[in-house]
Amino acid sequence: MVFTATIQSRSDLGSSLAIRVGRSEGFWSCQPGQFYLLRTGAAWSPYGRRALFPTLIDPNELGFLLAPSNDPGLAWLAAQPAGTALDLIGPQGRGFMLHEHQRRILLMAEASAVAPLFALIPPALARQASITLLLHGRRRADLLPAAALPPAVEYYTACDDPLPGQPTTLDDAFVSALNWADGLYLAGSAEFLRQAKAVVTEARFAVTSGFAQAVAPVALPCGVGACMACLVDSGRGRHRACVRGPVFDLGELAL
Amino acid sequence: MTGTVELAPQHKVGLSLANPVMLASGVAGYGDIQAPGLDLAALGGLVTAPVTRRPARRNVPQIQELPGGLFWQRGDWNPGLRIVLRDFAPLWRRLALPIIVHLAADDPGEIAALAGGLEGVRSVAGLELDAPDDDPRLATDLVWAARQAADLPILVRVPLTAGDDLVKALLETPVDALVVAPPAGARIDPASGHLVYGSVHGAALAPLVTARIAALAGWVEAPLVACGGIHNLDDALAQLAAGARAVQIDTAVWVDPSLPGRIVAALAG
Repeated sequence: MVFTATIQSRSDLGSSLAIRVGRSEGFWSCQPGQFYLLRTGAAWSPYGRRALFPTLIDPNELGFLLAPSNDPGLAWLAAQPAGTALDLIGPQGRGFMLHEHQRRILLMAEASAVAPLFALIPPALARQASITLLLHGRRRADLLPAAALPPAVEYYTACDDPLPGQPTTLDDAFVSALNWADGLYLAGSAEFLRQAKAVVTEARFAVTSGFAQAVAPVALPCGVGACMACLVDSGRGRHRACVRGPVFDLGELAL
Repeated sequence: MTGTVELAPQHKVGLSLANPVMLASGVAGYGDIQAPGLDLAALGGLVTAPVTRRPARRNVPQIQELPGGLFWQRGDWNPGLRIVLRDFAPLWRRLALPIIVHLAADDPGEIAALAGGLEGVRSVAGLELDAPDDDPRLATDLVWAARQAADLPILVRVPLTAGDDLVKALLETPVDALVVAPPAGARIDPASGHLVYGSVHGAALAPLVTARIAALAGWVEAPLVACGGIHNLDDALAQLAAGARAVQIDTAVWVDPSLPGRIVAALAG
């Protein structure tokens, strides 16, 4: 679908910016982990659409979270005031699956990539699931404030410039939470996912199908399945992440 | 200005398009593009992403954004002809428009194998191949190889930067139409620091392609197709007015998927 949407509100969340977007008609409908393609400006520079993962999916509004970035397209969006009309197409791709049996949801991400996991929180809470979010930031300032999350979400962080007594890695928290979780959802760089997959493999002997899902760590330049620049390898072959993904079973993803 | 367009008037079957608006090679994948707002059925034709004879798994394509455009390294990843036909020929039959398959090879034997593999595939209306801009002899050998292997109309992409020598050489072959295509470029890859090669796409190409079409239209009898730079109706009108028989919308369709349909509608109106 092609939408003309309007920025309804903007607010700071730590060093990130939260934007809420409404539609002039109809209702938003997408799955967590699917994405929209935003045209950044009416002219042709920045040129390409930007893939944006909703952090909030409500019939009347979508939420987006903009982490600090040097990308000129995202900088354009971050500079737009409330009331700005946006040109969006989507939802694109295949998102996360929340399985019926899951009651203990573990989310883990790098701060710059956490957006798609946010949208899982409301539907998981609606199922009375327990949720833990583990977030790693390169800088302390990249970490989201706890107030950005519902109080029902258990929240642990680590960063490369921690306060005294705070961790630099999520390793201990991750291993501990893996013993508890019955569903794992990940978003981050290839190296981040590679390490997570190794930890899961060691803790559970294998990454069983359906237990862990991850957003493929690739850019989505065209977002419509054409340019082939988002190809990822899985146990079932090579796929365009923007069409077959961007969410894949972690066990399938070759990292 | 719309109505049926013939891109291969010297060919015994021809390559007839319902209108002069096509999609360029690669911008719609193998026809399976998932772009809301894009109505493929409204178009005159579609050129597929490049197809190689054998599958290749190295070097996936990469895209770097430029001001007002982008730089596209096609890489050498490819599913190969067998898989492309298995996965996409059924889709081509369902799409109600001429499908032109883009052959990727710089060896006449490979081109012949590819063309031969597509001969008789009912949904394929034509072939497109790249002319290397620094080797007219090889370019002509590629066209002859394709012609001897298949009796399909042949379009040849001539880079915007290629000289008249290449065009003259191609006109001595059984080429059916020439496509003025986006130019090659080179950039430093930000990840590796190495110089990498690809093609340049964007709005600034439109007047350059228009000028090249106008120059060629003065002496080239074969149909000309303009590919590159079209980002609005005026760009398309200019290229058609300059002498292009058809236009191929390029990467602009990713940003504005409804653009081709709007151009078709405007031409019809």
